[in-house]
Amino acid sequence: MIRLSEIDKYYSSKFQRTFVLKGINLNINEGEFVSIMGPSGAGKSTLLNILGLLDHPSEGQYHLLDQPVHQLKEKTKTEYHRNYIGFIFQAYHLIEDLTLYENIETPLLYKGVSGKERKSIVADLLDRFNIVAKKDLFPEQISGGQQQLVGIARAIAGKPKLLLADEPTGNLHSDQGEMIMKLLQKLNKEEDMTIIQVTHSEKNATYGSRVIKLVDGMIQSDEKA
Amino acid sequence: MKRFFKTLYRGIKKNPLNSAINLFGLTLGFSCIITITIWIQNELSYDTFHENSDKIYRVHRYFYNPDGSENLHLPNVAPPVAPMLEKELKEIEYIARTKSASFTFIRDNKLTRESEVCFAEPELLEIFNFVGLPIDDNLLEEPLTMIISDEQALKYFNRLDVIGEVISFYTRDGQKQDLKIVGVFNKWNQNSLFHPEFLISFITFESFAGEEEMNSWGSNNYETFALIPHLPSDIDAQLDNIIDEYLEDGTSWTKIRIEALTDIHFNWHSNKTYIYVLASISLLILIIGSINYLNLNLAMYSRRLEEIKVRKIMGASPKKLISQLVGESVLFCLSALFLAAGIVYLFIPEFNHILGSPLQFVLTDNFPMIAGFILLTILTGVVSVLYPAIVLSAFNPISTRSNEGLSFGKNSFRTGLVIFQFFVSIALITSFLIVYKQLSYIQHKELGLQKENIIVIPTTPQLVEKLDVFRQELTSNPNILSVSGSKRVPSDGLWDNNGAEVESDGNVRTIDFRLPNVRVDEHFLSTYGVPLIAGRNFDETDGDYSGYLINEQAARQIGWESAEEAIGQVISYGGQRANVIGVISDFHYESLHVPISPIILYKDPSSFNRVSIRVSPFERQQTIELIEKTWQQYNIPNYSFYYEFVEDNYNRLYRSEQNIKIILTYFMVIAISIAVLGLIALSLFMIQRRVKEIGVRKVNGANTSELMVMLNKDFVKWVIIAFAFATPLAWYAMSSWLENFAYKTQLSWWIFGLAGVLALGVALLTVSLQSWRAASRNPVEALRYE
Repeated sequence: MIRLSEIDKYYSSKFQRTFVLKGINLNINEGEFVSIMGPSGAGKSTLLNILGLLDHPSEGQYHLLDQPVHQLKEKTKTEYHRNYIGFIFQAYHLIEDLTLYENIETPLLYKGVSGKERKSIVADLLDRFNIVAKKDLFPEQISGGQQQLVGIARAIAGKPKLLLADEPTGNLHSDQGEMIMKLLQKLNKEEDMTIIQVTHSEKNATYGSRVIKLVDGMIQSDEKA
Repeated sequence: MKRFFKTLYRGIKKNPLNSAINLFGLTLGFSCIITITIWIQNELSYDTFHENSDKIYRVHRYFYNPDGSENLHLPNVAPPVAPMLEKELKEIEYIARTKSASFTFIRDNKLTRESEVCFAEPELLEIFNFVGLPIDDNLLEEPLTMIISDEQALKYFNRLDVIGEVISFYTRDGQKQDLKIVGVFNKWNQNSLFHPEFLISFITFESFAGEEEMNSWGSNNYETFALIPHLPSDIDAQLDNIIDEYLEDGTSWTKIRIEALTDIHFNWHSNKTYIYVLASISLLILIIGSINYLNLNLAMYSRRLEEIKVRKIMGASPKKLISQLVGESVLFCLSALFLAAGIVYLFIPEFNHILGSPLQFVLTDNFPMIAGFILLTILTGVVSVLYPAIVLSAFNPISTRSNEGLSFGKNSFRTGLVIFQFFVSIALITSFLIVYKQLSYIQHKELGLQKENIIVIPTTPQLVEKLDVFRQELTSNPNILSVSGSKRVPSDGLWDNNGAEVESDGNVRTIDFRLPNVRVDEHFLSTYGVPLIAGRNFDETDGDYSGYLINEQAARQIGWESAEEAIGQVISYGGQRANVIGVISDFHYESLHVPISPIILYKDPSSFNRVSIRVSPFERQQTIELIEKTWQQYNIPNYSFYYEFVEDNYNRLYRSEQNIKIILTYFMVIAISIAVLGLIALSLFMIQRRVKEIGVRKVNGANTSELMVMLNKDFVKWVIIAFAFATPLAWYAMSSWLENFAYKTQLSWWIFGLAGVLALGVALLTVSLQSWRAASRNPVEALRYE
């Protein structure tokens, strides 16, 4: 599903290039649950951004669903965001002025899903995540764990093939973190959703099927969890 | 205190764009207010320097149509009015007639044309302030005596003790007369209705004009002033009684009224409405500037929220916080005021140059004004910061609400302010477009005559006698096409009037409307290009009063169905019976403020004051020189030559409208640029607040154009709301303005639409620049660090 070959990411200054990622070669198949780990500054988030088409590699090729996406134009990238990729953030990044219901609905609006269908998808998600009663609240009125639930609900509302999570439990205490990880695992197992998460936690990594360790922008190890 | 300035300085340094926009808006706002205040002060200062200025009145005359509507309002009255009032109205202490004139004076064989000459009765010296005159009760009592201003004494004699000296002039029939100087007064340098330089005894005029003129109720050419120390409350009723007593059918067709001296400038030479309107607009501009200030302050404060939270936790009282904010704001506004004062000081000469106004920006003797401005400034400073200051200091430091800042952006109060800015801008654009359209309508309206390339020069009885020869000599030059003599020329007023009767089938019917006359010769129609519709023009064989031409309007109002029907009818005009020999097409003799009046034309060379000459547009300067040379030969040698273009005179009729257009243009540009700058800063702020949201939406599949629609939507909505409010107001204001014109342009819907589209375009352009930048940015930047 994902094929990275010889991906470099660097920033050029006057005299030298600073590499964030160097020579990344990586294949990820559909249905995998991959955890990217590594110390701060290892390039984890940059790799995730490149995978999510939010950033572009300086060198190398990236094939997503057999398409050379490193050649895509901005407009087509938006299409990928609409149809294939969902994001979960450490800081949840819910839209404050919208209710939980409206937050979950957002990607469906951009995807052009009909009103009736949107209603049933959102209702279904609210039901699944047990937050029906809170659907009219605003993000600030609920706890962090619940905000992240909404964040996940929003990310999967559009039925993406690839779910990218940047430290999804980083801001949560352990009980809530565990709940979120279990949910991700369930999504991976039951719905065959490909998930790539960046995490610091060894424990969280165990929920996945594969662990990639990044050090100084290079893959140090790639093994089964 | 030191800390206070430090905080202020850092605030400005941190937000240079916002501070600059604030300063710009407030400074322009204050500049407009200062300029308008000086202007109004100047307008109000007219004729206030006389000791008795609040007791001096001018006598006016009104004429009415048979249906009771007002026909004519003159600021001058007939000669018998003053003696009548003096006799009948005991409250009058003094009353004096004056008759202004222009003269060519001769001194040491040098000719000087003077226009500030005035025949005046001796009582005038008691009514107005004339300083420096000798103590002599008989000043201006004797024929051929005059008093002159000190400036003129210096001009003519190079000294001030000129009593007993003489200045000469030629009468209309060519006789040289000496005027003896009996006094010198200090020239009036203040703003005044008139600036007399030479006052000649009125009795001199009476001997020229003759007894008939002095007893005529029809010659309303005398500006008459009265000193009335205690004005009776029923003055109008008393005046009506007097008129009813003296004139047959008295008040049914004419009335006498008095007008306070200090009101005259405002009522006649200025326009109260314009002043109110301009004062309101400049206040609006200040408000727009203040709104920017308020809005941007709100924006800046919401960024200072962290600081304020910390300060509050550390024990700062709301009072202390508010006073810091208010103090900063007042100081900021005061610096804008100083800047504005400097700008006004520099700009006033230019302003005077554009508008021909005599404004001066003098600070030293204007303490109340300065105090007023400082007060206004402090008020502006306090008002524009009080709301955010109170909101901020009431803000609970441990609120769970977002740490992004208070939701000022959603605030309906703030939205209202922005809508108000658009409202003012749209109203100004609309008004400007309509004024512009009306003025271009005036400029391009067919007047029914050819006003271009006509030069008007003065004439004397000597020249009138030889007018045919003069004409032949001039027209032998190919650049001179036509020459015509007349009493007055088109673009002057239709001041000459007389009673008229129509005879039909042996019945005599009095014409019940005002039928002013135009006294011309047989070349008038060809010179001015006025078409003859029926009958014939005058010819050389016609004598004075041997036939009448009327315009279509006159024929219509008399009741003749067609122009042909009028031919051969008998009109008795001012007692002179003659046939209507022709009907001419209607043309605009007067300005487009008034409808075309019925007129009657007849030959009367003895009354001629002017010669109109149609010239070719080529070699104009040589032509004028030729005319002057020829004129000098034919004229008595003692008159100075001058000329004017009829077209210029027509344009001068719309001077105040032209001025309004200029001022409105300035105001509009200022208002819009302040609003646009405010919009830039505001949209920048609002979009910055939503950067994270934009990022989130982007990763959820929004594209740039969808995001721009989202960001611009609010602004479009605001413009539309403002448009909905501004349009009826502008429509109402501009239709009342157009009421000033008898001939007006259409208030087409597209003007309003255009104003709305312009405002929307400007707003969208301003906002889109910001929103495009925000929407096209890589969302990673917005979402990276938390």
